[in-house]
Amino acid sequence: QAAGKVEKINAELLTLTYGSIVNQLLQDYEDVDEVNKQLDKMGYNIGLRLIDEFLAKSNLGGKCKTFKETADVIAKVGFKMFLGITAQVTNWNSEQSEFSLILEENPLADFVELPEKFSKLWFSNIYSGVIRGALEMVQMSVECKFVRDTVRGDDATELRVIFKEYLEEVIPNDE
Amino acid sequence: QAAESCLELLNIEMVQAVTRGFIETHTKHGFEGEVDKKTQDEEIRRRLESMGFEVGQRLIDRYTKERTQFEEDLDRIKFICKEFWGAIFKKHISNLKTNHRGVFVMQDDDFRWLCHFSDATGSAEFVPNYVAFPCGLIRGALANLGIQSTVQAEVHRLPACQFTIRVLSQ
Repeated sequence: QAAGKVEKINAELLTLTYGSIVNQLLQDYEDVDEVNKQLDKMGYNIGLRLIDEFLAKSNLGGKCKTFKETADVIAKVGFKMFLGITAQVTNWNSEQSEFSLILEENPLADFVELPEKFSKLWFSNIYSGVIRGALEMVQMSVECKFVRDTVRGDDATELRVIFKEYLEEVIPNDE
Repeated sequence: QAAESCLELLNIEMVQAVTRGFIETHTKHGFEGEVDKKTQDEEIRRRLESMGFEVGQRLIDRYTKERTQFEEDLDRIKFICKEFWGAIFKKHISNLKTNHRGVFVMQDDDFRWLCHFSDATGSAEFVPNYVAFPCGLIRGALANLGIQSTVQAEVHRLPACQFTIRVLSQ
């Protein structure tokens, strides 16, 4: 019920709007790597702002003490609150500093078919930026990247999150 | 079901990304050398508007599948004000006026996508770029209801937004 107070909309408009943005960026840059970067950048800027609403409405009653707790909160509370889905946390490394999020559903990628020439595109790369930006606002520096995506024909959609360091103070940097 | 804030923030980032995309690649699209601010803004708005148009076309088809045919243009516009706006923004258009000669003025007194802007921050000058996509949404939705039109937005006092629809004669 944590997500109860968040205003909800029909996800179709979000899905279609996101698709049209990816399409426009592909036309502009004609370079899949650059589009991956741009999507990540957009996500980062969104993450910086989205964290405020998350903290205000998630009622978590305190910070996540460990990276493990953080992972569970992203997967079970964050995705639920903003997209109405949950993710699985898995594939921890032995140092507990890296994990994967497996998305069984991905509203951004509904109705998406990638042409062959864009096979290197991480269609939903905005997620990487959102997670990186949001965690940066709670003093956690991470690297976040897709390693598999069903849009590309992979057997699952997997985001890898790698802990880098705790930050001393937050200096928001709108990219 | 997604959070409304995601869409609001995505809308802001969309304008930023399309702006960056244009500036960084403008020579590729046939614009040589320095492009003045006015030309740049017009081109960015044109792109956002046409993105909105395509999204509007696809959305309206989802909402009209089982509906009967509309008799008049006014019925189609009313459908946009109520059902279409309702599906997207969970509320109806605040006010609709018409001159009965093909001009319709729809006002949303509290347009969700402008709620992050404030007059005080001086962001008002950038607002036209942020309403180009919704203008396209409306034009696209109307096109699939059989109305060819132009749609312009005016923002006099945030976060109210006024959309003027001019029906083009067939």
